[in-house]
Amino acid sequence: MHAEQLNLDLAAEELDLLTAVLDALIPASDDGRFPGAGSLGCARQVARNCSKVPGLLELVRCGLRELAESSRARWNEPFEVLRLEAREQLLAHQSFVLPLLIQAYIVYYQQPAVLAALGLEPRPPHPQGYAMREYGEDPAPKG
Amino acid sequence: MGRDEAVDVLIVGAGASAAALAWSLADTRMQILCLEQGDWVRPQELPGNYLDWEARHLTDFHFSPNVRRRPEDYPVNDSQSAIQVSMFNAVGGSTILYAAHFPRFRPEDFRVRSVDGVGDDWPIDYETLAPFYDLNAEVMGVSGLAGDPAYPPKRFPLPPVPLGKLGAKLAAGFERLGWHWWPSDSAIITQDYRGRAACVNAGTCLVGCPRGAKGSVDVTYWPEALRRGVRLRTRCRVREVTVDEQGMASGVVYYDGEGKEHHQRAHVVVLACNGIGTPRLLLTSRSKLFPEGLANRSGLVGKNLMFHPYAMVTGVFDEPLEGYKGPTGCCIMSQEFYRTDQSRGFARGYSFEILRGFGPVSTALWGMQQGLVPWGRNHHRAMAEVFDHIAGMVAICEDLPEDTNYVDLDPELRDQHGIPAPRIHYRLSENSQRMLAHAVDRAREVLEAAGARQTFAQAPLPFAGWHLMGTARMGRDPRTSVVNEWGRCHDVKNLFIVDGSIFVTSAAVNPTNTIQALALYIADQMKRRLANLFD
Ligand SMILES: Cc1cc2nc3c(=O)[nH]c(=O)nc-3n(C[C@H](O)[C@H](O)[C@H](O)COP(=O)(O)OP(=O)(O)OC[C@H]3O[C@@H](n4cnc5c(N)ncnc54)[C@H](O)[C@@H]3O)c2cc1C
Ligand code: SF4
Repeated sequence: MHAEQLNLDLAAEELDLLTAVLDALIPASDDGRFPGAGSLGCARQVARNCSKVPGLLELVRCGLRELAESSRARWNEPFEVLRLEAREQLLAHQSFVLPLLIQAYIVYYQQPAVLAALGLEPRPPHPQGYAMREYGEDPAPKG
Repeated sequence: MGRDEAVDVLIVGAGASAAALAWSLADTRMQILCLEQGDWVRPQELPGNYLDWEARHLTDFHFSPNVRRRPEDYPVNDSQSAIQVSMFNAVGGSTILYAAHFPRFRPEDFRVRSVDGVGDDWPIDYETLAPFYDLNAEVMGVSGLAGDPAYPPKRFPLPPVPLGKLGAKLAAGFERLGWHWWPSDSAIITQDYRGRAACVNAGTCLVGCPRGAKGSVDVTYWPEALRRGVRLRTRCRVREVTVDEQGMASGVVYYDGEGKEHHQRAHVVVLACNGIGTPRLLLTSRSKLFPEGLANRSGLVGKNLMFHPYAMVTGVFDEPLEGYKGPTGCCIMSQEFYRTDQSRGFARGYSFEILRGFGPVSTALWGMQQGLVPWGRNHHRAMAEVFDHIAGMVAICEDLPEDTNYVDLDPELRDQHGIPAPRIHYRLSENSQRMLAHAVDRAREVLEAAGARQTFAQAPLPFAGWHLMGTARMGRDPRTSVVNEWGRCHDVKNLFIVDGSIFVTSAAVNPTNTIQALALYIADQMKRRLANLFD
């Protein structure tokens, strides 16, 4: 099901802000192998997942509003343009971060690009599965 | 209400025990009908085929029916229980989700009172069940290695599952300590077998096996039973077992998929709804003759609930273990601490079951819980240190039958048909708490001996109420048991129970092999006694 069908009603600005938050929670790796969760385009799916946990999407939306306000109050700039450290400082005090992070991990770690960066084949486990040495050449129990 | 034509044998539930019984009784050419509240699981729709497979553990394939809330699930009030109930409702029952770790009971497990002065003795012994364990191994397709000194000789139709790097590492830990270990008995086929394709080590067993390599009974017993004439009606939820004026079971009342009420008549009724569903159904089947619930003159329906408290201990290693490969719950096991040793401060003991590692989503969530994987700039560095560097193991602790642990009916909570939900009363005994603490220490020891740099423990594991036993126990004395030594209710001579409810004690191994061996044995007894089944 698509976000539109679920009528998530996330305004474009909210999605942009969520994208920036996700890029702060799971940023790109220094060596460039891992993309940031926001830049990878996880925001819509994360929002969709949040909408399935009672009360979570509302908590996140309130949190995003507060975050935008604190960013202006503290740095006089929108959250999206802050340096990573500044974003982290603001996020550290937000109660929506932990429940959002759970959804962020769930979405991020199923993306083919992320699986490839982890050294896995970027596909579901079935039908190919994984090659393993058959039992026989392993240590044997002494009995 | 629709009145359906009477059948010879009516089975309620289509899980592990029902399938084995139906398959065996199919020989008799009796009219056999099974009613199951769930539906067939379509392999192509199972999560393992999709990238979001790990996430679905947390939603529509969660172990708990209270979280899943599918239409075929019924709620279970386990809010007062130290351990939450896990099960699956479908053709195949909980074997759709099970790990297929498939050990047998040991001979002394049937004589716990005689050996250790706790629990009770069973009215049957290992030798009685041995031929049915063998038969079950053939039909389910069990992989394993003969020669385990902890058991009398057993045969395996298939060689063991691969140990992989992780299994070999843990085996070395056990060797270093001089502790017993053995490749697991697994209901997972390691080679093509009876028209089923061999396991490809995809590691999604706990959300179902799309390949049919895991022996869930929808791919083992059921296809053969149906071919031999057994009928299976899905999306049919049974509300109560009805009785006639003589106190014999006359059939069941059930709701079909459209919510229409039916009375299905039968000459013999068999309950196979698992250790929670069966006492629930007996307790909802109240009548003038059985005001306290059907077959409950002993007052023991729902009593003596046993789960097997689990401890889970996870080790973090320096090197990659390839733990995302291989059957999730089948690798190696140890029964080093199985028997009573008074110096440990508890009666009976536990088994260790070595699991694999976790997939990426589970690693990130677990790492977050343990404080190992932070968000922010250090995330990827921390994740690299744990992903594919963890090995999990569980201790399966023998649970003793206790008065304090039981299932009754919730006075308010109901399923969508208005049938009262089961309510769980379960607390961890002193004995279990001591055993869990001992198991955690020994598990840490073996993980460290295998090279783990850090270990993390959780005991008891909360959603590990997946072994459901004891709630309609077997015995010779009608005052102290619900069914006799071949599964027939003492109080109702054409009513049988074949699921984990009839266990007298729980042993310290996963129960399904024994549940099915018992179902095959009971079916065999029924066939032998057909002429005078109700005497
Ligand atoms: C996550 C998980 C992992 C597990 N791992 C292992 C393992 O590794 N090894 C092992 O030995 N065991 C394991 N188990 C346990 C194993 O699945 C059970 O022991 C086994 O399936 C029990 O068989 P059963 O016939 O008693 O009940 P089930 O298989 O649970 O079947 C009961 C059936 O009855 C149906 N039913 C209930 N009430 C009604 C009603 N009123 N009307 C109609 N139908 C009804 C249900 O829908 C269900 O399909 C695991 C279980 C889970 C959940
Ligand atoms: S590991 Fe084997 S048994 Fe488990 S899901 Fe994959 S193919 Fe099936």
